[in-house]
Amino acid sequence: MTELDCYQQSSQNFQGLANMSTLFLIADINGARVAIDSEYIESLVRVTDVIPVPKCHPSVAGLFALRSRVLTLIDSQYLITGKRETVTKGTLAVVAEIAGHHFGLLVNSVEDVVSILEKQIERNIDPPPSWAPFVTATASVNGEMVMILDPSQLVNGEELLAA
Amino acid sequence: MDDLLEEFIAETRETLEVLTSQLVEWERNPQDRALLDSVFRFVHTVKGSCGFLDLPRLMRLSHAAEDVLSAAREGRVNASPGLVTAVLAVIDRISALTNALETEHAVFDDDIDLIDEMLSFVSATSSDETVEITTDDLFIEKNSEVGPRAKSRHVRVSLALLDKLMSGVSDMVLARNEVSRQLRSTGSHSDIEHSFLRLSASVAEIRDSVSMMRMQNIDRLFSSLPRLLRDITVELNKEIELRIDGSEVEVDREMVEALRDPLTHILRNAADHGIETVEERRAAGKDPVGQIRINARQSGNQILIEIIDDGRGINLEKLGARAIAGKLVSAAEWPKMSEKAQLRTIFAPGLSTADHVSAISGRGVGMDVVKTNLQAVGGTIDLENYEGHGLKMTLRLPLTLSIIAGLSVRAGDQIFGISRNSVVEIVSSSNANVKIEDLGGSKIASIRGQRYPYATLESVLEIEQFEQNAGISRTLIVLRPAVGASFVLDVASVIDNEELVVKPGAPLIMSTGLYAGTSLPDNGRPMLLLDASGLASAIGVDLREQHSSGDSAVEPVNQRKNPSALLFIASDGVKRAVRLSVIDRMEDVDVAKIKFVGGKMRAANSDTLTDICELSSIPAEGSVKLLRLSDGEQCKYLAVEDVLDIFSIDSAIVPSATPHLHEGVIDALGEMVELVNIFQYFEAADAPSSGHGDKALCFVESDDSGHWERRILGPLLTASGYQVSFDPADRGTASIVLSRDDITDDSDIQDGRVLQLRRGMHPANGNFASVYRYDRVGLLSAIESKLSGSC
Repeated sequence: MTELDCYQQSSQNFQGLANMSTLFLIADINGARVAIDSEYIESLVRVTDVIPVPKCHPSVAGLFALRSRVLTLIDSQYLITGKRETVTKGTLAVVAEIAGHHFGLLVNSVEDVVSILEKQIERNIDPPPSWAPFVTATASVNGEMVMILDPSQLVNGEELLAA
Repeated sequence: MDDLLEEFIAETRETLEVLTSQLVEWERNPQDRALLDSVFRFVHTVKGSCGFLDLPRLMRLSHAAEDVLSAAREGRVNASPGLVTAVLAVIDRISALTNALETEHAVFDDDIDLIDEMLSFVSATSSDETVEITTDDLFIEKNSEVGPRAKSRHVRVSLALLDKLMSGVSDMVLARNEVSRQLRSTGSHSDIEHSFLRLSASVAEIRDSVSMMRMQNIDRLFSSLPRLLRDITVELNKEIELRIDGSEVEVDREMVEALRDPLTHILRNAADHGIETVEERRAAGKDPVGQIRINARQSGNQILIEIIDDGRGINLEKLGARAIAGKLVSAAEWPKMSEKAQLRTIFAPGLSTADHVSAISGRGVGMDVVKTNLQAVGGTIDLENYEGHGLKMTLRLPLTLSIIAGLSVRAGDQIFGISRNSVVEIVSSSNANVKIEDLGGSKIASIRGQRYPYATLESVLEIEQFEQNAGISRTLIVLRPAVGASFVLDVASVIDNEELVVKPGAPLIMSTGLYAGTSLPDNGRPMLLLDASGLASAIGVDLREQHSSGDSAVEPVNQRKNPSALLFIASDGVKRAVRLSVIDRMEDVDVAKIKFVGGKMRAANSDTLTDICELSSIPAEGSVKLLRLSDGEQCKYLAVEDVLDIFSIDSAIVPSATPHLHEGVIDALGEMVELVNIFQYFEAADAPSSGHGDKALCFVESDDSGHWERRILGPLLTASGYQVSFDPADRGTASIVLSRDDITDDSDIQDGRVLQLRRGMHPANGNFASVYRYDRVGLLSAIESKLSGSC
């Protein structure tokens, strides 16, 4: 056996472990309960000052500063409803690092951090069509349904522009 | 274990990078012991680490390579090109496997073939394997000592940590600015202010060193090129020699990454299309071995990389045919285009001059990608074509990606940044030389008769003009993007001129094509950085227009015969003009940096002092507008109240009654103003330093105490631009010997260099050659005449 085989094995083991106890943040976007993998999430902030980005895709609500970094604020609601959210002072955003860039994902509120196990995934339930592009799976958490978001789809400029 | 593995991957990669160029070098000089040794050391190290980390494939490969190389070291095998190729293949596999360790993609296992191929060189020649193993080992040990690895005082730090440090420092700068604002508003205690200044200074110092940490030797970029070229030449069966100069230039590490692809492309193109085959070269009477030279150097705040080949150059006729076939230009337009514009079509997407598509290049993707990649890092590319003799490409890059000199401008109620590199000039829209003309709906700005495409920033970005600003005069910025025509951007106002820390924008933002990134200026509000080329294409300065108007926009400026002058309000409130050619730039200098010292107003600038002319008093606070004048060697500041405009001196210069102050009187935009005579400022410049090219050495003879000589005479001579020595050993070489008449020997008087100084006003003993020691003017002129007499 080559050493490469060894690595593949060990990494599979690791993934198996990770699957068993992945934490998700449960948040509310446009009245829907969603779960975001905590692996992406850095912090939660209240955004105070948003600088608009002219001529950009409407899902970009603007730029904001967090410590010395400039973050791109994503209007999650626009992606679902096609209506832009009015960003008021103190709007809640989930700070996430996606594909090497830092983003703020606008959410209406956050509820809890929970672990979602493989067996909680509901394979038969499809998310509604407006959500489908951004959801990897639905799961049942504490007796209620949540949609597990794929954050990289939320910030995927090229595909959004093509759509 | 994981840490060890990571360490191993990083180290192997680093060594490989350095090694690639040496391998090629080694192929050329198989007898070069040092090169062979370093290749050997590499595989030896890999072998050692692999055994330890239990990586059997790498172990087998490195072990076999070590065997072959040690045979070559002992001279049992000749280091033939075939052997080098085989060893290279094994090293490539080692590198592929090392990468695979990280990516976890399996690499097909035909290692044994590679090993066999390599070992065949040894077995073919190794008839006598009776070398004693003990001496063999000793030999190796001894040799590793002969060529020791240079001990480097370096620490490997992860990039993430470095970035964290960088952002930490930026945070610190922001916090400092915040404190500074609060200190100003509360009117602080002078003690606090003093401590704060110290804090500020050290923060600035840390920021500088962190930026330095990001700098990398450009050699990291160049080291892979010889190997690349070698592989190309083998495939194309050409002979090419690569020369790389200026590997010591330092660039931002992100720049190294950004340049890798463009440079590879250019080199491939040069080798594939530029350099002819050996036969063609012979037929053309050229050296059969093609030459490619890469020079890197730093020039001001730019890095210049030149790639020069002595190949066939670009055939413009062929290029034209391709461009017309590719519908990039029409057949009628092509002959009308300037040569430069024609050349620039090679940067258009989908154009190639290669007859055949080879594995290496010629697929028509390439030069446009090169251009785009360069633009992404704020660089430009220039071409010089010598048909039949070669092509020279010059890449110009900003020194650093992370911090640019920027201009902040207002549009609507928002502030944007733009790199100062692309700014050609800034004029007010109320200026009499500026006209906005309507041309069938699209607008054209005409500045001093020069026409440019024009747009307001608000209209390009589709944002509303801020109503409060309506009616107030706006500002026009003439921008020259990396490639293409200049155009005029109309903004509400220019706010500031500052150093901006550039942060890459998210893909969603960059995909608009309008922005170069984001930045966080001192006020803590994010700012979008505009991309000049992106704006140009948004305005509709298209490719075709680039060709035709790109040159016409530039050339008339150069062709204008009349010199330009700057109209300003002098510090005494009078409008005057000064020739533009002597002005380096305009600076706003903080009053804290200005002092009246040594009988002159001076501005402290890092560690040099520069004289300020025409400044009678220092304002209590704020800053002073200064024009930096230069005669090519020295610099002077000219204080001005305000700068009004630039105009060309079209009228005759009417003589002035005070020619030493004013060159004359000229017509500036309908007004008669004095044209300042620059000579007066430089004339009053430090005469001593301009006295003698080489400072003349004065030997001062003194008695034991020599107080007067050391305390009074020495400083006077030094201040007058002479080198002074009190050491008798220098007497022989001195141009002038000064001594007091009461200690001079008679023999000295014969020496033409001796100048005697006397105590009394009037010469005693009838010695008229002496000079009264406090007669400063007389003394200096006597030295001067002695010097000129001796010459």
